[in-house]
Amino acid sequence: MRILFINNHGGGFADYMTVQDGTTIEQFFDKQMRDCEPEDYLIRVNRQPVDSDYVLQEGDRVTCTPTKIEGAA
Amino acid sequence: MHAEERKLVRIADRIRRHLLLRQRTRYRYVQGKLGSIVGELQRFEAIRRKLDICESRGWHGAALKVLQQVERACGDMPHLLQGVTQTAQGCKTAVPSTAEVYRELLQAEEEFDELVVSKAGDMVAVETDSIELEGLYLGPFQIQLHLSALAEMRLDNAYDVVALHPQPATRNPVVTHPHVSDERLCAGDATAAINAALAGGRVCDFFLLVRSVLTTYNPDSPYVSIEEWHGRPCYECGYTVNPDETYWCVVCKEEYCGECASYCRVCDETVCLGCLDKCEACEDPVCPSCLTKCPECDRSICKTCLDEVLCPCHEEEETEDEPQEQAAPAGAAGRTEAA
Repeated sequence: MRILFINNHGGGFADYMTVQDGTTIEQFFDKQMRDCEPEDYLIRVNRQPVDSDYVLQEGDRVTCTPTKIEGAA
Repeated sequence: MHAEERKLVRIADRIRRHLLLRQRTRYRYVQGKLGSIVGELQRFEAIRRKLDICESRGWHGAALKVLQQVERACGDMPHLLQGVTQTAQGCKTAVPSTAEVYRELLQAEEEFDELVVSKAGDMVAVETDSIELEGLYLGPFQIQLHLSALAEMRLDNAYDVVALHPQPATRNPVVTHPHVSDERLCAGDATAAINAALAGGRVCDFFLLVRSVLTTYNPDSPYVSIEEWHGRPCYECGYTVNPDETYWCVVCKEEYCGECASYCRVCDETVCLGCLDKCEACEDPVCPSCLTKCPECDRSICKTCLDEVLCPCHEEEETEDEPQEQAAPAGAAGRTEAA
């Protein structure tokens, strides 16, 4: 199934992706955001917070936004 | 539909229209740059024909000069091509529908408890909670998105970060956050993501990203560091001083306020009052490096007084000698009489 994934980490990648049926949001995050901790991100599905065991559906919109980003001067 | 909802729909539509304008601006920019590239290619063609003539007629000297033109023309191309490529890639970002932007605004309202819309409808804003970084209280901030600026090619000026209860740095009142100066955020690692969010009309993502920067301290690159936010304490009296107004003692290597520091009257170096000594001749304050001992009487005097033989012991010697000089003419007269 296809979902829209918006990754606000780094350059702000946004594109459609194919994921296996039955993939939970936790599994999806672990695969797409390796070496990242979910608690360091705001994870939204269809603009809403969801439980980690939420099973992704066709056409879902997933966003991951870091909660800590270093600014500069 | 309620009045508030209608207002948000109007705002969403306005955002979409500005993004469409921006898209058209980028198309025109690409058109312009492609025109420049076509011009350059025509130049290449002219150079190619010249080189052809030089080669066929054996004009080697002329050919070398033509080759220099080739080098210059080639040098300009990468920059042109890069600019066009980047802009063309940016044009791929689809402009969202009004409905999509409307959903973004609703989400921003939920994430931040409130979405502020200016009366003119040309600015939307959210407010953060009070921000505290490593014990430094900075207060809440308002993140303002100026809608008309979304039509510009560059999106850096599309938003401001305004301190609602300003706690500015002592040495620079326009710095209200280590990464905010004059209401402009230096987004650092978030720059690309913020630009992508704005270009795609993802207004809520934009607000969330800015908040993420405001709630993070980067000690390697602040406008003013947290350690120096309230100034620096004087080593002697503890008074907090603006870092630009401290005095560095060259002897003990500590920082002082203006009341606790002075300077050596011989070498002009800054020295704290605790490290200064007094010349026993001129009584001027001097640093230990400029203080020496009189070879005659071992008094502590400055080098200037030593060089100019101003130690009090010399005056004392002269005073002791005077009575002997006054008695000398009588003795001389006595010797003369004896002779």
